[in-house]
This record gives sequence, structure tokens and C-alpha cells, in this order.
Amino acid sequence: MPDATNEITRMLVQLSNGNREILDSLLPVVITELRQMAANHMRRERRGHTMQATELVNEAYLKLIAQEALSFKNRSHFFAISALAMRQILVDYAKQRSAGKRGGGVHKLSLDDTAIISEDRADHLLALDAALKKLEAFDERQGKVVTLRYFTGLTIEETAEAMGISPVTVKREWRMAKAWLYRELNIDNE
Amino acid sequence: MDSEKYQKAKTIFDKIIDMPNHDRDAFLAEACANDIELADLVKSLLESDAAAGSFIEVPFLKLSAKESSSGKHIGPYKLVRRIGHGGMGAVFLAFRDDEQFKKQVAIKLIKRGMDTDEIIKRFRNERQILASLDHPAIARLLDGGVTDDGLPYLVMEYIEGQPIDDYCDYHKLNTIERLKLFRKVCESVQYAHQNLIIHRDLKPGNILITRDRNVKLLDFGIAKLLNPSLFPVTIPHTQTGFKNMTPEYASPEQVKGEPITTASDVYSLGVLLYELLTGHRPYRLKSHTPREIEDVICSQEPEKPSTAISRTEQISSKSGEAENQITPQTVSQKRNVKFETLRKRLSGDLDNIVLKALRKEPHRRYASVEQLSEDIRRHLVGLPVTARKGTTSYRLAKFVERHKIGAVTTILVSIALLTGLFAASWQAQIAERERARAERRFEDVRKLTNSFLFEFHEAVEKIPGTTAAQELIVQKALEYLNNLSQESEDNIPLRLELAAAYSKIAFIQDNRYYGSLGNTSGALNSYQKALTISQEIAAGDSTVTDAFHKMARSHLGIGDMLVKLRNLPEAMVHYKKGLEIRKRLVKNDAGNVALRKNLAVSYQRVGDTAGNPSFPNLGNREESLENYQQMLSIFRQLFRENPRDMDIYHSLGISYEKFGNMYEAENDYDRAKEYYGKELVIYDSLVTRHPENVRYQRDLGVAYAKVGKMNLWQANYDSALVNYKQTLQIWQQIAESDPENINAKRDLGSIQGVIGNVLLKVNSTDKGITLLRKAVANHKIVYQSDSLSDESSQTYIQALEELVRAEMNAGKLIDSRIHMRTALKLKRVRANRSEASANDLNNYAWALLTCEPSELRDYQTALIYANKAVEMSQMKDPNVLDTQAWAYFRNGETRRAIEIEKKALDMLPENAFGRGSFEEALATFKAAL
Repeated sequence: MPDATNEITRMLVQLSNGNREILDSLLPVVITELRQMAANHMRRERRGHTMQATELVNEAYLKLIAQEALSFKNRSHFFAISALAMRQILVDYAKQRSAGKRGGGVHKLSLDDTAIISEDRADHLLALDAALKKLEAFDERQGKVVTLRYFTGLTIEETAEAMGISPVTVKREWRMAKAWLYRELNIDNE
Repeated sequence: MDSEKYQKAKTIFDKIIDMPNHDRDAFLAEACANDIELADLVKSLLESDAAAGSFIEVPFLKLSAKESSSGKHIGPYKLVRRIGHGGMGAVFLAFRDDEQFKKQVAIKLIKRGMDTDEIIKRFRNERQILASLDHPAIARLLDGGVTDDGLPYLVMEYIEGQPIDDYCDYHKLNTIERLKLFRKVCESVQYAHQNLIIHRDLKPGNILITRDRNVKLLDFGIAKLLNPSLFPVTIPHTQTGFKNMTPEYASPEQVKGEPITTASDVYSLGVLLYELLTGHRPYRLKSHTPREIEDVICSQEPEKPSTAISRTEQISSKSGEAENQITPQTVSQKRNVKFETLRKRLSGDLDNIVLKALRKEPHRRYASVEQLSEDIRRHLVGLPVTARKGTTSYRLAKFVERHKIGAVTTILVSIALLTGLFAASWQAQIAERERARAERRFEDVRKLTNSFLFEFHEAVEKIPGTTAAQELIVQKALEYLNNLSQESEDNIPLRLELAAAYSKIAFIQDNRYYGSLGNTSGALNSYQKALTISQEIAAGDSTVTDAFHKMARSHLGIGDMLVKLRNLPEAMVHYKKGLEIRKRLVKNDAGNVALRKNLAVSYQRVGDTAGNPSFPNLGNREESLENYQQMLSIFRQLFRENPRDMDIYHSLGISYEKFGNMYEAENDYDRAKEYYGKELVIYDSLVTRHPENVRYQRDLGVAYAKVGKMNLWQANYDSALVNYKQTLQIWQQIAESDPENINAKRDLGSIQGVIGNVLLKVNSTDKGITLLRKAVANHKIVYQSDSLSDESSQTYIQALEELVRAEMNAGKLIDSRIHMRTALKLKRVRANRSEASANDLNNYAWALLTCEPSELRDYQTALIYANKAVEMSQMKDPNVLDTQAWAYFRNGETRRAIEIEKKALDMLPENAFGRGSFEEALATFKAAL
């Protein structure tokens, strides 16, 4: 594990030094780690416990980052990346889950994977993800707010901190994004 | 739709959303002009906004928790589900239902029928004490209250883990691994005992092991909270007396309703150890009637662990459904070992250790959990264990006791057959006398421990202002100890205990950090006694490592006291001696985490005293840095090995702070900021991990303030404000969540004052004054809660004076006069106290001479107080003389003023700081002639 830790820490430092390309290599690493941690979580919690994204991300943060090497700002970067990673993971699960339901699944699902998402919620999640992608095309910032809040469970204040904007702005962006997504999903249903 | 349209809609949506409904249409019509599509989009968004409700408000992964919850609330907590139930009621998983804390907690809901009022009262009394238990291996008590239905509840840290017995079996831990895990349990119980808290209900269900094999103890002190006398003497034979605890782990004294001490926890740990090692309990109760429980626990001798493993036993499983069989095979399987190997492993040392912990009489058990743990450690490294000693005479005594008269003859005869009658009876007499003497001694120690540690502590805790009574108790305790130390030259464990007791007394007499009697020389004396005793033990038997631990501890204590007495060179000698001992100890036991922490603390003290300007120091900066470097690398390494040990992580933060101190003092603010920043990052993630831990929150606030101070000194006012506001926000939260916490109010007041002053600097006058007023309000609350406290009235006065200055500058004259009057009144109160110092008198006089608004000045009164101050300081303080000179001057006696000012100037060295103002004063007086 220390290797991954150093690797991620190094990449985060590069990222905050302005090297945006590093994001492409960082995201997969974080996704792998988070996925593994989520699976461990589910295995240990098989007796009906639930997993919380905030906890998972905090845990990942503590585990994956060499604390001393990072400035305060890097934490925000990490949360932003974790949010993307969480979303990616959950959508992947949901896709597999949904495919499984229709009988056409190629992947064999392990118990650990399926436990995270019920079938109903898998469909809901995929629809939301699609809508969110549209939203991101119009307004990147609103997309980010939704991703941070919905996929990693950050509060308004935490989201503000992670994005470096004010809580008031987060609230405003959230309100419109939520209204738009609600409208988008309902229109689809009609 | 495209991005452009969406952005247009956004501009309108943001504005319109805060408008009342009846204004919206008009605004929309105007804003969209003739773009119908845009108007429709905004309209539909507004409709969605109204209809969306809780849509996506609950994060995706939290939904599942919500779905299965019973949805009920207890206080501010939302219940998720039931996770257990016991004698006292049900336990729920819950979380705090507001935005700030999504932290999971366990809520224990006390069932109806228990004495609600009594529990609430006890909870209030104990809360402080229990909340002070801050150890990574102890689940914290966070909160408590009463539900709407009138049921008391307790809120505790929620721990995910497995009961220790299940854990060991599930992972098939072998005996060594089990012993190591058990020692971790001991370490945390010992920590609680040092904080004067007894668990009283130790059992596997209260000892959880987390997935990374860390120990977490639940329900510390809860048993006392819920039922202070679990087995009340008055009803020992009724069913109700036993209802709330687990009889299998209860000690004889608990069953009999006798006083419960730390020895009761030692006993319960003995039962636990028995079970971990053998898979059996020392006693299996059949009927669970009080009569049977008392009989078995108080008089039946447990079988040796090495014998017990041969038993085959039927037990009903925890749920009561299936019958399980414990056989020699299942026991050895679960320990991943052959039966015969296990039997050999247990016989001897481990038998003796377990049985010593399980002795019926509290004073015959290990005197502390630490000693139990130490014996296990000795066993693990192959050293002789103390439990072996005296075992034969112990058994002999037990035998005689059990079989009364007949046995004495039987024994004597049978021994006589082997060794000769004379010799045997002589030896038996010696053994008996030895035993009686040891017993008496132990009894004294017990009495002492009980009265001193527990009764005394309660006196300290609950009755403010009883310093005299506390002194008396300390005195009494010292008498006991002196008696004991005179007749116990041969008993090493007892002498070690004495050394520990002296250290403890010393700590209460005086210490660097916490409340104490302030008796520095007394504490120094006690530490020296502790040092002498442990040195003697070490000189007699250099394998007693515990003696070296205690030597190092005593050196550290002596050093601390000498620093207080300003004898820094001598303090340094002791710190370094302690350091050297700890270095050696660590060298021989490199895996010992506690030891390495201690070593780091020694480095820290040497570093502080060598040249850290935040402490009294010897001015050797390089030496400080070298020692802090050592401290830092120890904590760094420890953190790498124990990334989940928050205590270590916190200490790592402190290590960085030290470097910050050093660079700050050299005016190297950039580097200081860098280190304070590192400290800050650590505290920040500690808070993230433990949002309920107030100390971490407070420390995070301090760290922000330190970074802020560096920015302030670099004149980066904006950055400083950002940092300070973080501090403000955190401390505000602390103060709000615990309105009775006076220290939180003091913190809040101080940061408000700091921010207020910075705002004045950047010309935000109104905002600055507002904050200074808030600061004054908070310091007033602090002052009113404890008007006798020297510090609280000083800070209150200081806050008032800062405010007055600001108000004067801003032309708010009425306000400033009101506030100055309050400050003057407070100064007068200070000056009129019977214990007023020359400084207090001088300050009041100076204020009467110089205060603004000037109409509040009173020169005649000033002269009276100035004269008193001079008298009290025996004319030795130039500042006081300066005040007196001004007082005479203002009263028209210029010649006298000149005379006195000259005297004051004579006392000052040529280049003294502030000499200029004295010279100016003299010039002013002369000019007036």
C-alpha cells in the first residue's frame, strides 16, 4: 500500500502545481483503491450494515495520502477526485446490476458488488448519471456541486471548501441543478 | 437547449428564486422579453424547484441507511437501526441529524423501570469524568439526555468490531497472539484507572476488536452511572440485585456488595484471560440464582487453565438456540495448535498469572492492571513472572482457611514426614508471619489507594475551593506511604507501587499543565522519593525494567518542578538522565510503542528547556532543534506504523508546532508558517475523523490562529483574517455545542478580540468594534462564572480596554466612557482584594492617572493607591515609583515627583527597555517647575 500512497500523493502535488494532465492517470488509481475499499467494506459489513460514501472517502484520504507531504489545498483536490471516482464506481456497479437483471450480463457479479446497489436504485442511478452528463455540458460547476454532494455526501460547507467557493454560491448552484435534474428525469418518464 | 440558453436561465433563476410568488411573473416577463422558450424553461425550473422536495438531497450511499431506519428521533439523533439489547435497554445505531455532524453514534436507551431521576443526576456528575477519557482504545461517551417519553439515553462513539472472544476464535489466534491482544486491553483499562475510572463490567461483549486488530473498550464507567452499587448490600439475595450485570465476570466483592476498586477490574480481566486461553469460563453457572452465584464466585476455586482445557462442556450459544460443545479438540483447533502443546503452554506461568488475577481477596490479586500486563510481558519474553512467587504459601494458607482446624494437623504431619517436624513447623511459622505482614502492608496500600485516588479525587473534582482539605488528604497519604516504605525493603512489587504512588502524589501536588495544589517543592520532594526507591530497586536487580521506567518518569517530574522553580541547568540534568534511561529501554524493547512515546516526550522536554523561547530556556537554540528533530522522527515512525492511532498523530502535530515555535522566535515567519501549516493539516484530518472530539477541534482552531499570527506579523492582514475567521468558526461551534463550557467562552472571546483588532488595523472600524464587543461579552461571562480567578478578571479588563481604545478612536465617546468605567471598577476590585499585589495597586493608580476619557481620572485616589503600591513593593520596582511620581505631579507636588522619578531612573540599567519614557517624565516634571 505505501507505493500507491506515495504515487497518489505525488500526483496530487503535481496536480496542485498546475499539471492538469495528471488527472487522467490519477483517477484510475483512486478508482481502483476506492473500489477495493468499498468491497472490503461490504464484506465486513455483510450482516446488513450500510456503507457511507463520506466515510469511505475519508478513509481513503487517510489511507492513501501521505499527510505530511500535502498542503491544505490538496485535500480539496482529493475530494474532488474522489467524487469523480465514487460516481464512476457506482455507475459501473449500476450498469452491471442493470445488465444482470435483464439477463444479458456478461460480467459475473460478485456478492460484494451486488450488495451495494439494489436493482431499482441501479436504474435510477443510471438515469441520473445520464442527466448529470447533460447538465455538465451546460454548466460544469453545477455538475461538480451535484457530484460532490450526491456521490460523496459532502455538506454544503464541505462542498464550498472543496471547490473553493462560498457556501452561498454552492447553495444557489445546487438549487438550480436539483430543479433541472428533477425536471429532466420527470420529463423522461412522461 | 444549449449552454448559452442555460446560462441565461441561470441568471434569471438566481434572481427570481428569492422573490415572493406575486412578483415573479412580472419579473419573468420583463427579463425574457420575447424569448418564450427561455420563459418556459425558467417557469418549468421554478415548478421543479417547488416539487423536488428531498430529491437527491440524501447522498446516494446514505439512502440505504435511511431506508432501513426506523426513522425515529432521540434528541438530535436519528435512529438507523437496533444493534443490540441488554439488561439496561436497547442499543441503536444513529447519527446526528443536522448538517454538521453526520457521524455515526451508538445510543443506549435505558429502559423504563430503572431509576430515571437518579440516573440523570449521576450522569451529570460523571459526564465530565467520563468525557475526559480520551484514549484511542476507549469508546467515548459523547452525550446523554432524556427522550420525550422521559427515558434517559446515553450517546457513545459507534464502534465496528467483533467481541474479543469471537474475534480470537474466528481468526484462530494462537496463545501468543491472544496474550498480546489481551495486553492491549490491559493498557486501555490501565489508562482509565489512572484517570480514576473503574469499568465494573468488563466482559467480551464490551471489548471489541476492530478489523485492524485494535482494541476498543465500550461502556467505561457506564455500569456505575446506571447502578452505583450493582449488588446493593441491603438486597443481596433478591433477584433484582443481579439483573444488570454479567455474573460470570463479576468479582466476589461485587457479588457481595462490597466496595469496588480497580482490583475488581483486575478480576474481570482474569476471567476474560481465562476464557481467551482455555475456551472455558472459570465457573459455569447453572441456575443463575443469586445464592448459586454468590456460592460459586465467592468460594469455589477455579480449575487451573491447563487442566480446564481437558474438560468437555455443553453450553448454549449466545442466542440461546443451539447447544454447543466445547471439547479439547475444538479448543485446540481454535488456537491452531495441538492439544498437548497447548496444555504445556498454559501450565506453569500462565496458570499462575490467571489464578493470581482471579484470587478471591482483592488484595491478593495483582495490585494493578499494569502489573498483570507486565507479568504477561515477562512471560512472553521468558523472564520469571511475579505470580510464581509466594504461590505455595498462598495455597497453603488457602488450604488451612478452607479446612480450618483439622487441616493444620494434617499438613504438619504430612510435611513432617518428608522434612522433619521441627523444620516444617518453623518454616510454616515464618511463612505465616511473612504472609500476615505482607497482608497488612497490602491492606495499607489498598486503603491508601482507595482513600487517596478515589475519595480524594472526588473532593478535587466536585467541591471548588477546597485546597486546604486537599492538602490535608495529600498529607495523610504521604504519612501512609512513609510508614510503608520503612518496612518493605524486600518486596519489589510493593516498592514499585510505592514509587508509582509517590509520582502520582507529586503530580497532584504540582504539574506543568493541569490543575494542582501548586505545591512545587512538595512535588519535587515526592518525585525525589520515587526516584530514590526505584533507583534502589534497579541497583538491587537490574532486570526489573519497571524500576527503570519509574526512574525515568521521576527524572522527568523532577525536571518539570525545577523548571517551575527556575533552576534550569539542574532541570536539564534530570531531563537528560531520564532521556538516557529511556534511550536504553527503547534499545532493548524497540517494539514497545508506549516506551517510544515516552522517549519522544523526553526529547521534547530537553528541546523545550534547551532553547525554545515559548518556555523558560537556556538559550541553546541548536540543541532544541536537534532534540525536536528526534521527537519528530519518533512520532513520524510511530505514525507510519500506527496510522490509526490518533494520539500519535496528534503528537506528530505537536512536533511540528515545536519547529514553528523555534522559527517564529527567529522572526522567520515563512518557515514558522510552513510548520504550523503542517500541524494544521494534521489537526484538520483529526477533526474530520473525530468530529465529536472537542480537543481536536480546539487544537485545529489554535493552529489556524498560529498561521494567522504569522500572516499578521508579515502584514498580510487579509490572509490573517481568513485564518483567524476559521478559528472563530470552529471555536464558536464548540462554544455553541456546550453552552456551559467556560473555557470555550474564553477561547471565543480571545479570538474575537484578535480579529477585532486586525479589523481595526485594516480600517474596518465598525466590524472591528462589533467583534471587540462580542469579546467583552464573552470575557464577562467567564469572569462572572469565576470572579475569584485572577486570570479571568485580567482578560476581562484587557478586553474592555481594547474596546475603549477602539471606541475612543472612532469617536464613540459615550460607549467608551461606559466601558472604561467598568474597567476601572474591576481594577478597583482587584486592588482592594486582601491578596492584591503591588501590581494590582499600581495598575489601578495608573489607570486613574491616565485613562481616557479623561473625565474619569481621579488624581487624589490615584496617589493613595500609588503610595500603597510603593509600600508593598518596598520601593524596589521602578514602574511603581514612576506611577507614584506622576501621582505627586498631578497633585501639584512637582519637586517630590522629580525626586522619585530620579530614584526610579537610578534603578534602570543604561539601555533598559522603556527607559525613554522615564526620562520623558522627568523632563516633563522639570519643565513644569
